[in-house]
Amino acid sequence: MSDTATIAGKELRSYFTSPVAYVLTAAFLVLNGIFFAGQAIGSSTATMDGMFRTIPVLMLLLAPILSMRLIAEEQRSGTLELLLTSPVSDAAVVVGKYLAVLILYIVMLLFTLFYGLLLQLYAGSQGGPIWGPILSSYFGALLLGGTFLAIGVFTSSLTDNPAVGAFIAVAITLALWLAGNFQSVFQGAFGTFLNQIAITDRYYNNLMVGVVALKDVIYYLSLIVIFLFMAIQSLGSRRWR
Amino acid sequence: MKMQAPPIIECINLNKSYDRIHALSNLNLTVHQGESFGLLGENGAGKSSLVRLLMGFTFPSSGQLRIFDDANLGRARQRIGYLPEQPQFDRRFSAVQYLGYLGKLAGVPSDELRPRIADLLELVGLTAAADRHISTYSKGMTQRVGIAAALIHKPALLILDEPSAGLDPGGQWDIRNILARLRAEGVTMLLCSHQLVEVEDLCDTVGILRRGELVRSGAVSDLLNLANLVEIVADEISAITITRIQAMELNTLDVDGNRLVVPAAASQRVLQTLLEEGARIISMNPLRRSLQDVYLQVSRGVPTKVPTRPITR
Repeated sequence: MSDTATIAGKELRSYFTSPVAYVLTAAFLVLNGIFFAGQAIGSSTATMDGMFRTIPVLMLLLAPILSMRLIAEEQRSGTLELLLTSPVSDAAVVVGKYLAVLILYIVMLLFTLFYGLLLQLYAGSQGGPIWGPILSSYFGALLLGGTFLAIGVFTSSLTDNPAVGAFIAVAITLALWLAGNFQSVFQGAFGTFLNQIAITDRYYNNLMVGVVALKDVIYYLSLIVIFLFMAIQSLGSRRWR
Repeated sequence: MKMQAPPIIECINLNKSYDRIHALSNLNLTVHQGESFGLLGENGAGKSSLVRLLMGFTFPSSGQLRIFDDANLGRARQRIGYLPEQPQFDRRFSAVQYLGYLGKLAGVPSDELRPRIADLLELVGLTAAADRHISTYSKGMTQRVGIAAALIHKPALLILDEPSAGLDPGGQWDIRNILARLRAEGVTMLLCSHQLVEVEDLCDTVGILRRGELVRSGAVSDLLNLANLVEIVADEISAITITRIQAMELNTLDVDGNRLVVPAAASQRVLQTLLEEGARIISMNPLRRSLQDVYLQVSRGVPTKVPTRPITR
C-alpha cells in the first residue's frame, strides 16, 4: 500500500512540475464554465446540468491525454525498467499511477464546485440549486471519469507510444459509449448485452437526476477494476515476451 | 576461499529463446558471494538476455535460475541493485528527490533514507549537485546517479550493464574507482562490459558468451596466465646466439631486438645459452596475455599473439 502511495505521490508531483496539469485543468474549467453559464443563463434555472452533460464528452478527450503518458512514456524513456527493478508489484505500479491521475481529476472537479457556489450566491434567495442531484452528478462524473481514466491507464500499458495509447483509449471509450446504439443491429442476447455495457446511457443519466442505484455504481467500479486488472496483466506480460 | 562462499547466482541449463532465436543456450554459471564476475561477449552474444533474466524482466524458456538460493526472482530482487546500460530517470526531479522515491519503493526506513542518500551522493561525488534537476546533469553524472540508485537499498548483489559505456576517459575512471571501492567492501558484482580493461581490473572471474553459449569462464588470473611464457631482455643478443636458440626448436620464439619471448619450460636453457654467449641479462619476467587476447581468441577465434605484458606490470 505504501508503494502505491509513493508512486501516486511521485506521479502527482510529475503532473504539477510540468505545465500539462495546469493547461488541462484550465481547459477543463473554461469549457465546463461555458456550458455551465450557457445552461444557467439560457434557461434561467439553478442547475449544473449543462456542465454535467458536457463532462462525458470532455473526458472522452481529456482522460486519454491525462493518462497516456503514465506507463507508455515510462516504457519509451526506459524509466519503467528502473521502476520494475524496485521490489514493487505490477499492481502497485498500475494502481499508484491510476490513483495519481484520479486525484488530479478530482481536483479538477472540485474546482467546478465554484459554479455551484455561484448558483447558491445568486439564486439562493429563490430557493437556490437543489444540491442532491448536483452531488449525485458529481458522484456520477467521478465514476464516469474514473472509468475513462482506467481505460487510459490500460491502453498506456499496451504501447511505448503515448499517442498510440491515447488513440486506442478514445477508440475503446467510444466503442463502449456507442455500444447501446447497436442494440437494434444485433438482435437478441448480444444486442441486449451491448445495451447493458453502454458506458453513459442510463447509468450516468440515472446519477445525473439524483438516482444513486447500487447497480450503476457497481457497473462503473466493475469497469474500473477490469481495465486496471488488464493493465496489470499487460505490464506482467512483458516478462513472457 | 571465494569458491567456498555460498552461491549467489546459479544458472543451470538455462535457455532463453525469442521466437526462433536462441539468445541463451544451456547456460551453466555460478557466481559466489563476494565474487566480482565479468560477463563478456559481442553484441548479441546473450549478455543482455541474461541480465534481463536475472532481473526478472523476462522468464527463461527452460532451465533453472536461482538467486540467493531462491527461484522466486521477485523476492530476490529486493536484494539486487541494478544499473542499466543507460539509466533513465524522470529528469524533472533532483538526484535527492529521485533517490528518495526509489528508496521508499525499496523499503528503506524513512529515518535512514536521508543519511543513506547523503552517503551515496558522497560516494558517487554528487553532493554538490544533489539538489539540481537531473536534466542539468552530464551523462557521467547521470550514470553516477544510476549507481547510487542501484545501491540505495544496500543490495547484496550488484548487476551492472555497461557501467561506463559512452563516458569520456575521466568519467570511466570515476566509475571504475567507485566500483573498485564496492568490490573492496565485498559486494558481489556481475559486470557486463565491453571495456576489457575495466573487467580485468574489477573482476575476479570472467565468462565469455558467444552466440548464447558460455564458451569460456574462469578466474581472470588463470585465463591470462595460460600463456606460460617468459620474456628475457638482454643488453645485446648476437646473431650467433639467436641461431643457437633457434636450434632448440622451441614452440614459441619471438625475437624483437634485445628481447626474447620463450616458453617458461625452456627459459633456463635459453638463459644459459645467453650467458654462455656473453649477453648481460637485464630482466626476465613471466608474461601473461591481455584479456583482449583471450577475448578475441575465444569470441572470434583470432589466434593468440605472443603476449607483450610482463606479469609484474
